[in-house]
Amino acid sequence: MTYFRITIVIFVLMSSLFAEHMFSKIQNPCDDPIISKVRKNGMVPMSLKERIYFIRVKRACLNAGGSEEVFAQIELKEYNRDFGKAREMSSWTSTFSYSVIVALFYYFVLGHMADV
Amino acid sequence: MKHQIKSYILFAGIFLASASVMAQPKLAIEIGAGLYEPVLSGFDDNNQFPVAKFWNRNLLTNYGIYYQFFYNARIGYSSYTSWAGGELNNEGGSRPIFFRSISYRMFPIETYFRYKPKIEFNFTLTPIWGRSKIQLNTRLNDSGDDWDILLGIYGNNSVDLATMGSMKSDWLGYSGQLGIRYYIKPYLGLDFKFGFMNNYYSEKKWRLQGNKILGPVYEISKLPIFAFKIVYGLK
Repeated sequence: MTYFRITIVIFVLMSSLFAEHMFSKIQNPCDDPIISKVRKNGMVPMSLKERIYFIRVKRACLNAGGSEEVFAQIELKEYNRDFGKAREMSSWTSTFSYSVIVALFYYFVLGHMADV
Repeated sequence: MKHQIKSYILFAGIFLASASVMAQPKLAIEIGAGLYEPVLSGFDDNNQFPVAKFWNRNLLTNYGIYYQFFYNARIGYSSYTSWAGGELNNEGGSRPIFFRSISYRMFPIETYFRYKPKIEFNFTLTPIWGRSKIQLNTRLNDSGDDWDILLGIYGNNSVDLATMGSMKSDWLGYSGQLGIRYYIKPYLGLDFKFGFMNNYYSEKKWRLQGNKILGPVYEISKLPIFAFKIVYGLK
């Protein structure tokens, strides 16, 4: 009985949180504003609710004959943007990384040699 | 002069505002598992404790949260915990349920760079605030006897207990880890790390309800560690 009550409470909570996005039928999914929003800002800044909605829009759009290329481009753009920002280390971060490598070298190589 | 100061303030204001717009604060959570190989002779040398198995010796559960505070750097909190539980086989006692945890709570600084659009290398240094906890779920009447038997194993005299309690020990340490992360989605990644932990643990620094007591011997001073995590970017 307790499990039944808990299930109902969870169901009510989930449906109040996600009802609009989870169960509503998406009209014209390929023209949904979320696609242009994601294209502009990427998926990272979105909330969980929006991410779920975007996944639904993507699925509905592909089912309606939309091009997968559009969504692949969105992801690729985001990967490339993050890659561009993080491909080189800036300021003190490279020194910090060298310190970690030295610490690991000291532990695994020199420490092991000292034990032997 | 006043005009110049105002200009500097305005310029600084615009610079900070643009930095806060351009910068991307990224908050991420992680869950995962770790592997290590401690020697817990405080338990293994005595057959009263639950039998040592992979899950209660070598496996660590992990969760954490990270915040990207600089271009290639994150700061956060990450906790690795080893769990053990079972019946304490104490002759003369009530065979209470024994529960033991060893937590390695880390406050890492992690720097990283992307080798390829989907592949990241990361470098972590972190202090450790370790804590171990031993708890006995005894029958109320047998509480004192059960604790006396357990503490006697480690060479303690009888301890007067007001109620059921748990014995705890804290220590400090540090860890260095090297990791590789593969992004399945721009906000979802799989992270594999390896590194070491150095813990300054002492079996003489246990406490139970305000009493300083002797605890089990753990050989956890120099340990290699491997971890696998799923990282989810929230924002």
